[in-house]
Amino acid sequence: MTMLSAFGAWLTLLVLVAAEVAAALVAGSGLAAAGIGVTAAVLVAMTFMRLPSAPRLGAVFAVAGVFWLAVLLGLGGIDPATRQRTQVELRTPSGTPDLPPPLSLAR
Amino acid sequence: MSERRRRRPGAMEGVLAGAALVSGWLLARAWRPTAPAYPSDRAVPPAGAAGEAGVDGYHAVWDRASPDAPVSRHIQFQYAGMAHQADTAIAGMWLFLATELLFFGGLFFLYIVYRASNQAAFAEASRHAELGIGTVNTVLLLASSAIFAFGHGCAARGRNRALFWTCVATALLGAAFIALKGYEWSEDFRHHLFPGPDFAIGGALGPSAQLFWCFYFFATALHGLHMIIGITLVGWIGWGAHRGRFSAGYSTPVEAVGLYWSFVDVVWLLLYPMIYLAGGTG
Repeated sequence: MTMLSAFGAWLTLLVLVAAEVAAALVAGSGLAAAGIGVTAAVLVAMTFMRLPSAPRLGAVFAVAGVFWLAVLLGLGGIDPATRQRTQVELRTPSGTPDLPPPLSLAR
Repeated sequence: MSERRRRRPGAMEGVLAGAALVSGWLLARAWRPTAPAYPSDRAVPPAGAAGEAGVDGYHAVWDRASPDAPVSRHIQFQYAGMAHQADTAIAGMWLFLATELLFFGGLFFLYIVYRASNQAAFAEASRHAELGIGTVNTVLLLASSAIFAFGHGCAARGRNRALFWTCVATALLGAAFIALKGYEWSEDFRHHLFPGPDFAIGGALGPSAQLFWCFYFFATALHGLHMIIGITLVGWIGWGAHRGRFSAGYSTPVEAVGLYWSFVDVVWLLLYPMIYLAGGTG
C-alpha cells in the first residue's frame, strides 16, 4: 500500500467515525451508529487488510467467519427479539389459607 | 516362426507404452495451470534454473541452494515456491482471524441480548463512559493500521529502513492507546463504575447498568490483551527490518502481522459504538 492510499483510507475512516458520533449524539440513532461502525470495519478489511487481493482460500475463510458470526447472532437473537414480556402481579388474596390441605394418598 | 509371433506383442506393448507416455506428457503440458500473479513471485529465476515443475499452479523457484536466490532460504521444503508458501500462510492467518471473530462474537452476542432487555439501563450506563478518550483511541488505532499497511508496501519493495520506522510509529501509537485506556480505567474506578457494592449508578437501573460495565471491563481487557500481543509482534517485525530480513520476494511475516493488527482495529471499530455511543442523545 502506498503512503497516499493509506492516508486516503485513514481520512475516509475518520469521516466515518465522525458520522458515527453524529448519528449517535445528534440524530440519536444507536443503530445507525452501529451500522456506520460495521461499514468502517469492512473498509479496514478491504483496504488495510487487502481482502480483495487475498488468496482465494483466505477470502473463503474470511467470508466463512462472517457467515458463522451472522448465524451466531441471528439465531441467538431470535429469542430476545421475539420474547413477549408480561407484567405479572404477585399478591395473596385475603382469606386464603396459608397452606393448602395436604394430599392424602390413602384410599 | 512361433518365436516371432511371441515377440510381436512385446513390440506392440512398447509402442503403446511410448505413445501413452508421449500423450501423457503432452496432456500434462496442456493442462499445466499458469502461476497466479502474486507480489512475492515477481522475482525472475535466472536462466537455466532448476525446479520449474508446478504444484497446484505454483511454479517452483530456482535451485534452493543457489546463492543467486536470496528468497529461497525462507522456503520450507513442502512448498513449490515462495508464492505457494505465502498464500498458505496468509490463508492460515485468515482462518485464525475467522476463529477470533467468532471468539469476540460471543461477547457481541451477550451485549445484544442484555441490551435488548435492558435498553434504558445500558443507555444510562453508556453515558458514563469517556467518549472523548474512546474517540481519540479510535483515531490513534486507525492511524497505526494505516501506517503499518504502508509499512507492508515498503517491505514488499525491500525497503527495510522505512519498514523499521513504520513499525516504531505503529508500536508507539499502540502504546499510546494502551496508556490512554489505562488512564480511562483509572477514571472509571475513581467514579465507582466497577461493578460491586459501591457502584455509582443506583436505583432501578443499577443492576442492569452493572451488566453493561461488566461487558465494558471484560471486552476492553480482552481487546487490550490483543493489543499487547500485537505490539509485541510489530516489535518483532521491526527487529527483523532492522536486520534487513525482508526483501521484495519475502515479506509474508509483515503481511501476516499486518492482518492481525488491522483485525484488532476491526474489533475496536465494533466495540466503539457499543460502549461509547449506546447512550444516544439522552
